[in-house]
Amino acid sequence: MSSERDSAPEQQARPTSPHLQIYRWQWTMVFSITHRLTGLYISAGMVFLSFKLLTLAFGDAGDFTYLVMFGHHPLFFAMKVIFTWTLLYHMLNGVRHLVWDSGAMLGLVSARASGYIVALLSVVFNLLYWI
Amino acid sequence: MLRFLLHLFIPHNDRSGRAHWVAQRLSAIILLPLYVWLLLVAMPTASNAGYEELLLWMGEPMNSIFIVLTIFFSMRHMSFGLESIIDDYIADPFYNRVALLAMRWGTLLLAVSVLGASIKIFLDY
Repeated sequence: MSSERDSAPEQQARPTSPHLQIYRWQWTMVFSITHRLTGLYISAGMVFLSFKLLTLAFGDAGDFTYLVMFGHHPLFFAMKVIFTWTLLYHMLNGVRHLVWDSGAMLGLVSARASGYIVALLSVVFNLLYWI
Repeated sequence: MLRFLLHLFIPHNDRSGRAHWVAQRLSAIILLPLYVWLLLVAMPTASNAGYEELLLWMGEPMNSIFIVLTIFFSMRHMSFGLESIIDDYIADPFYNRVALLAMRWGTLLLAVSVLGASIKIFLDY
């Protein structure tokens, strides 16, 4: 991040994060990596949404018709359903992280249970959202 | 506190990582109600409205403000998250730096563009 770090010779060859394959799979790490993956998906979605807003502001009715046509495609609908789920998961799990930051619920049992609750709620809320 | 607030708005190098940590959480707390609004109000409106109707809706002062805030803090929060991913997986100092700079300023440019777009819609409709 800083120029000092880049120039320090012993830090030139910094290791990458340990690759996921070397761990024994546990549900807690699935919840964690899902948080990062949903963050990536939402990022792509928000970049798309930003370009949509730019098109609306600087384009015309023809561009809008094109967007609507694109929006009616089944593939796009599927992407939208995934988008709302990723958003719900990231929001709920984000609250879980904020609770952890306050120092609460860090025990094994509550960390595991809250993970399952977040996963379950995100799916339930997404179903309720689209039904 | 001022440094944390600065980090929330403008990308800059934060040697200790503390400003990054605080700004990531502040942006998350700001985004929570905005995303509830996006899911329950903005998305249903956007998928049901016609062209004129949608632009009129987006031109309403409160809606413009919510749109700008949602996109701006999304871009900042996204920048904090992607920064961690870049630091985790791009070890080469040169490419790490290039990716960080492109990502930080790219997201900010997009946020500012949307601010411009919202002002234009607000003035036109």
